[in-house]
Amino acid sequence: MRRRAALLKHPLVILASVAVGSLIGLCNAPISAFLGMGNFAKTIAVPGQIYLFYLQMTVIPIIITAIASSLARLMRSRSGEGYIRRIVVVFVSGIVITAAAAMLVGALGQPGAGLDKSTRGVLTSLISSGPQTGALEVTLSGAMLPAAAREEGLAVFFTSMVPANIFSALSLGSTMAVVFFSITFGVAIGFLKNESAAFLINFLSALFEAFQKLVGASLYLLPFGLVCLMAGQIAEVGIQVFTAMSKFIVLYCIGTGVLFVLCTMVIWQRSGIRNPLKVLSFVFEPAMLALATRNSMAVLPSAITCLERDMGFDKNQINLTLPLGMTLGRFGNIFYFGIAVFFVAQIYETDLGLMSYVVIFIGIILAGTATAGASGIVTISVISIALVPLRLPVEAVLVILMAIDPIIDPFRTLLLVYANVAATAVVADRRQNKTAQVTIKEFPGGRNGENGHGG
Amino acid sequence: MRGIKYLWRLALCAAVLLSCGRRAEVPLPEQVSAPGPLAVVRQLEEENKQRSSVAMTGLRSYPKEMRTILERGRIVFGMTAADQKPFFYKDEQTGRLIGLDVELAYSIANRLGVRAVFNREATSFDGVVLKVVRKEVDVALSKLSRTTRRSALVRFTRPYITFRQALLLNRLELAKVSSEDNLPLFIRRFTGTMAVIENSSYVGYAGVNFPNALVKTYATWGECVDALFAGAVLAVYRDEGEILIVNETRENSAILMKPVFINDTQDPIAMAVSHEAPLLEAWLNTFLEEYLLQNSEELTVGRIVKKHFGQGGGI
Repeated sequence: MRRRAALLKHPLVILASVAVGSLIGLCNAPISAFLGMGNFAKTIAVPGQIYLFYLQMTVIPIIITAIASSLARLMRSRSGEGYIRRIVVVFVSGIVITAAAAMLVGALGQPGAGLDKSTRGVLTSLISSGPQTGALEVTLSGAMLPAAAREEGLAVFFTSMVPANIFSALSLGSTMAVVFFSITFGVAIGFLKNESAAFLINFLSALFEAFQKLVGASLYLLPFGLVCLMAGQIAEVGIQVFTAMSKFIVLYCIGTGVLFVLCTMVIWQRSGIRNPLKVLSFVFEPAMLALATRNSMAVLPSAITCLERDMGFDKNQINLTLPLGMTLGRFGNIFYFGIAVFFVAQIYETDLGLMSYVVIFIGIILAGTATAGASGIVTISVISIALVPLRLPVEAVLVILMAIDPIIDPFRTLLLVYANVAATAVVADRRQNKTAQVTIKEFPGGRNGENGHGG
Repeated sequence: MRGIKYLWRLALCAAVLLSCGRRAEVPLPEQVSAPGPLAVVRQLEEENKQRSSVAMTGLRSYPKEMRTILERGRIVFGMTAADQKPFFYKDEQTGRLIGLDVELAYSIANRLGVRAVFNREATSFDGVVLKVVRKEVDVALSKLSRTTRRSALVRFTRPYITFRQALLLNRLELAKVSSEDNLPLFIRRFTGTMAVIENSSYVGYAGVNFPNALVKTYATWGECVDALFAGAVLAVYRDEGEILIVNETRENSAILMKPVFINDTQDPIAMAVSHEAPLLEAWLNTFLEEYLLQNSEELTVGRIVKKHFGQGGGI
């Protein structure tokens, strides 16, 4: 029975289910007509949605328990400080490499240059029909309606980092605030010097493991979930805009592919597994999950399992690094923004000087990082952080980018998850021996307490 | 058991009835397409030839201003030399003068029973007004904006169409001076260059509505729009109809340009006659009352653009 169930997690089964789901999405119209249903893909997307909700259900508690417990533990051990320095170095250089790669693809690939007449025609009709991008109606007299305050930008990014109330941040799912809380919580526990610290750490670890089990069990249903999610996702893609923007999409996918191979090589080197195909088979589950859910946080439990159980990296280090990375290491988004900024500059035929390249480099890193914790279409409008300093118009292009996002988003999520897995593999050490329990002996303060009790 | 049998029959009957009902559906007749602008003018012109051939008698009781036109047997309409599509322009294939104003001119002449003649010597909108002042034409029918400045020179009829005023902004130039969210406020304090047609009503409108703007005048609308697309000016300023037309006909306009309609402004388009012809003005107003009632659906911005440019005037 166990073996048969394990078959459901086999890479080939997962690949097959993605293929079946895509096929259903592509042939949605004839299938719906044959079955006499309104929209077949939309109907089966409902169980897919429920599955996605289940995966997301425990993400917030997983982030807290993983970051807080592992950070507290690292602070106890002597290697803690060095490890945190390593995280910063690896992730910052990862971000720099990603931004540079995106700029290279954007500058050399020219996604927005030389678009033909029909392409521009499709984009024009797309923009004219948009509610905000069409004509604006204003008045010259009378009361001025206050300009709608934009909930984006760097100021908002920093103010939303510190939660005014941790419980409201939890219930609103503000990932950034939750991560900030978890880090401070973990540090605070690290400074506690008594028995209660050990208790708290073990308690959090136990909670984390329970939540991981909760999600882990549902991954047996992954093939069915993938069929439903992929069908609904593929069916909503508009073909006309897709062909008009094919140059941009192809460039983005090629770029993602190259980085994917690069990341795989890094993981392969670090994991110490001889056969690179075996590495691929391990990361297959989180990768496919990223493509199908388009939600990096929903992939977190699966990615943690992949690095910990399958590849044997240090549990503590993974538990701290991966949730942190998924929130702040927005590799996929930075790469996307980089190409998109060049697309805009080329569509408006703007000459970019050396200074502009510096502005773009900083802009896309800030914009990408500002999408922390967000996923889906909201992330796109953050591109204004990079475009406004360049004095490029945002509004018209935003409509185009949103139209193609159903195709881009899966790859953006894939890169985000995968690059984080790779960066984490670089940072983390291979596990020497299992140390799941924190024993009270590790705590000098705790021992004193014990003695006190004994006395 | 019997009950079930009856139910079966009932269901069968219902099914048959339903299928009959479906079959009985008659396909809708294809919508009769409205005649094109050329056909409309042709018909009116034909009518004009017939009507004006009948000599008029008993004109003695008419006041002088009307009698001159009726005795002459023709009414002279003043229009600018440059085409103003869709108001008056040459048909591409036949070279015939067609358009909204042309239709209106023939309808007026037909009602009066005289021939319609078009004088297109004036090179600007103000030039047409001067032609009326000098009595070289009877009626200025030239997509003429009714303004206070012109009202001091000639008598205006009621407007036969009223536009909102509008701007078309170069998105790239706009991004250099203002954020897109802030656009409503920026329009109020508009600073920057703005192109208008020289000797047109918009020179005056710009001075009143956008006192801080640097106004550049160009001889034709085409030159204004070229300057906008070249980035030489931030905006062009004209009525919503023209802005919409540029946006629909110029390549890449939606990507490169942002249309802005100003709701609390208007650009009333009216006919003008000499200050010595109050009766002609009154007659034209009476005529317009009827004409507008009959053509109320046709005379909307979206419809006009659709009719003369053959595209969806989605407004």
